[in-house]
Amino acid sequence: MRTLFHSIPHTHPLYYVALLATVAAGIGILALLQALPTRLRRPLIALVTFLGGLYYAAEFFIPTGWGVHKGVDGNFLSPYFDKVANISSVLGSFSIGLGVFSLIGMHLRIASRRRESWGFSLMLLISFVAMTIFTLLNEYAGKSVVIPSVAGHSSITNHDIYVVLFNGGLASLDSAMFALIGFFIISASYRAFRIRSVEATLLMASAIIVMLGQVTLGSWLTGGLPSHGPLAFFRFENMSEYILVHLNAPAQRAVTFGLALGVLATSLRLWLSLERGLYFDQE
Amino acid sequence: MSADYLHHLLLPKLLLGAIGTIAILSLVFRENKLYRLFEHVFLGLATGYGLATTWTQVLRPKWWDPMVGGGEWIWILAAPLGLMFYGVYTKKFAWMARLIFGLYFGLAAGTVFQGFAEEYVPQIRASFKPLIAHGAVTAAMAVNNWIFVIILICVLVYFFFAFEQNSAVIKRSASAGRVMLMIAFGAIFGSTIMIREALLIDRIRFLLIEWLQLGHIFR
Amino acid sequence: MDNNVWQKLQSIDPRALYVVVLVMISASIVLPGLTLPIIPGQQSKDAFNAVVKAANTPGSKFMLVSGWWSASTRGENDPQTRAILTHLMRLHVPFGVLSFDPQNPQLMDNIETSLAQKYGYVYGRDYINFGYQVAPAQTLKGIVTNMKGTLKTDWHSKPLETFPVMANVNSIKDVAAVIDITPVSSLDAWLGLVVQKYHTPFIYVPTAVMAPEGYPYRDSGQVAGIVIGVKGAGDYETLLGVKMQGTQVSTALSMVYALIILLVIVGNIGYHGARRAAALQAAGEGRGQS
Repeated sequence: MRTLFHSIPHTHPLYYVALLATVAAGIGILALLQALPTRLRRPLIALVTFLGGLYYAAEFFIPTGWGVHKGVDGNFLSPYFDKVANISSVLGSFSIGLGVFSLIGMHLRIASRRRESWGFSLMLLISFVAMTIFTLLNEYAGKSVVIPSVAGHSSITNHDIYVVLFNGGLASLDSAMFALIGFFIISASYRAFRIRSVEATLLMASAIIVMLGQVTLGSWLTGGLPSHGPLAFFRFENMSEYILVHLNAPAQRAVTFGLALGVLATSLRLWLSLERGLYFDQE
Repeated sequence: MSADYLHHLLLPKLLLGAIGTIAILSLVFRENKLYRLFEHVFLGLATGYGLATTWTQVLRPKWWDPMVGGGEWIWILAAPLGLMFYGVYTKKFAWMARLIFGLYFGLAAGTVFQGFAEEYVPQIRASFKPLIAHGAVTAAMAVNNWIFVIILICVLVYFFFAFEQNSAVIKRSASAGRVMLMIAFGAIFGSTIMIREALLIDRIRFLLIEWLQLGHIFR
Repeated sequence: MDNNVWQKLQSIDPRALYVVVLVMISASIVLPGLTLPIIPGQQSKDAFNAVVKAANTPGSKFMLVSGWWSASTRGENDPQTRAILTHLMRLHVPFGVLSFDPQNPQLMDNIETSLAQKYGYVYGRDYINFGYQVAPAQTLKGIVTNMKGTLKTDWHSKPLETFPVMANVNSIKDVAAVIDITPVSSLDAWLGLVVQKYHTPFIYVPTAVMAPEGYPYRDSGQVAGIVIGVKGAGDYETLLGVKMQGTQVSTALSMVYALIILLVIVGNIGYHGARRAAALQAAGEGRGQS
């Protein structure tokens, strides 16, 4: 098998023969799959799902030392982690087009048919094209001049435009989008946090202590208390640390145990194609 | 206003960032066209960047270069297999997309099996804490350990849905677990506020210090 | 008190609140002298000491810095990254940056480049940026046994074998510590798939909202220290003896927290006052009828 997939220098004619043969084989496989009877599709999907998980599951359960020389870590499947990672990365990267096609397709339709707010869709398309082009140009021709120097001003290169688009555009806008939530938290705290029960009181008390323990204001408020001794416990930063380490941690661990068992069970069901629902029951 | 300051204010990178930030933050006062414009620009930039980066940092070094420069012809098989994702856009080939998604479900499940023992066995081991003050374990540590174990058991009992919680002991433990969860959620809520406000403060800082350089005036 | 007062306490225009918060933040950032001293927390101290210990253990000093963040959480993760990388460069520790978000390599590069100039770090000799990785779980599993085979190139597609910093780094065995700077739940991936095999020290640098879930792992010793959000960045800067963004925003954060606590109290006073007034009014009407 290693000889069969041995690399061939791209200057050799056999390389192109192998390439074309593999493309033909790939298309042939797809045609064969499409020609399969419909009733065989779900079992085939289940088989592929099982094979997908089999490598990692088998590598985990097969004892260390099987099929390898003495002193080597792992078993005969362990040396292929990097190859599986590369195949997963490459195949997964091909799916980038899914989101791109959907978004760009939708806005292309709006812009081309001059529907409501088509101007915004046009701007989206322009920014998409600009960012794509200048990110690629930055990588492969970053120093190439786009606008030569004029009247004492320095020239503008692909890299300069990329920096404006990334740092000034994408990064700033991304940060600002999430910064909006800061405002809404303030109005939510004011309008929605009503203490109506014992549990709500405990929740707010715990939140306030942890909040004050996280900021310099809390340290300043209880700064008069000694930093050692029994009274030191009542400094906000110490109370906050106590809540997080001794009260929050065991609760989080218990939740983690429950989640872990749930994730394990769901993973097993996914691997063995036992899941049911709208997606899994499709023909 | 000096020429240098004006030049700094008008630097494209900073000016675009500042106008964009103000446009996005203006949403809290009122929905407006400037916000919608920059929202669309952001979407376009993010999509374009994701696409270009996937090529430059993943597909090119891990697929194209080994296939073309390294002579590894077998990598061409990734193209028809990768095209299977796009079967979702057609009725006829939609099932093929489920084939390749199934492969990734399997891979994800496999990595869960790999990581489960390594991650959770130390957690289980660490839950068995010394409860009696002896040797290196002081009285204060023993008290804290009791609190830890009691909270852990009560919260675990709260999440037991496999049987009916009829016994008084179980019911009270579950109630205590619920109370302890409120304290934990309070801690999470307190932490959530920090991140949200930190993001807002960062943007204000960008506008006032990096763009307008107001920090210099008052120092 | 008139019921109107209680209702008014509960219905302050949110836009007025936004203006107040903007003014408070602006004042605390711009005006000098409005600073309160930072007292580093125990978790930050543990993380700091863990990095120092890893840098002083015999053998490879190479550290892996993993970044899952994008500009959306830059307010917390950027100061954390600056503090951590400042520390690594001061300790003369070689490091590699592994990214799991498309924006992260460029954001990390912005920070690396600015700090490298200050500390005389040279790309390729002292540090490297591995670029964006798709399929995080599979990639992390791959670097356990074969880092060069899994990652292959740096973020500009140059083979890893050509970089002096990677000369003796072949797998996770050659990594002195892993520092994970993240806004997502990445603990499972690192702890389950990578660090437990050779007990590589793991320092967790999450945004504040992810921090509480790190405490059980801190308790079990799987995590050597936690640098929590922008507060942790400020702590770390204090331990380093520098004043960067983490320190600069600490006062602003305090003022916003004070405002939020005040608003919660005011809102609840209005709510309970209105309830009490309504109950009294109902009782009065009932007596009147009878």
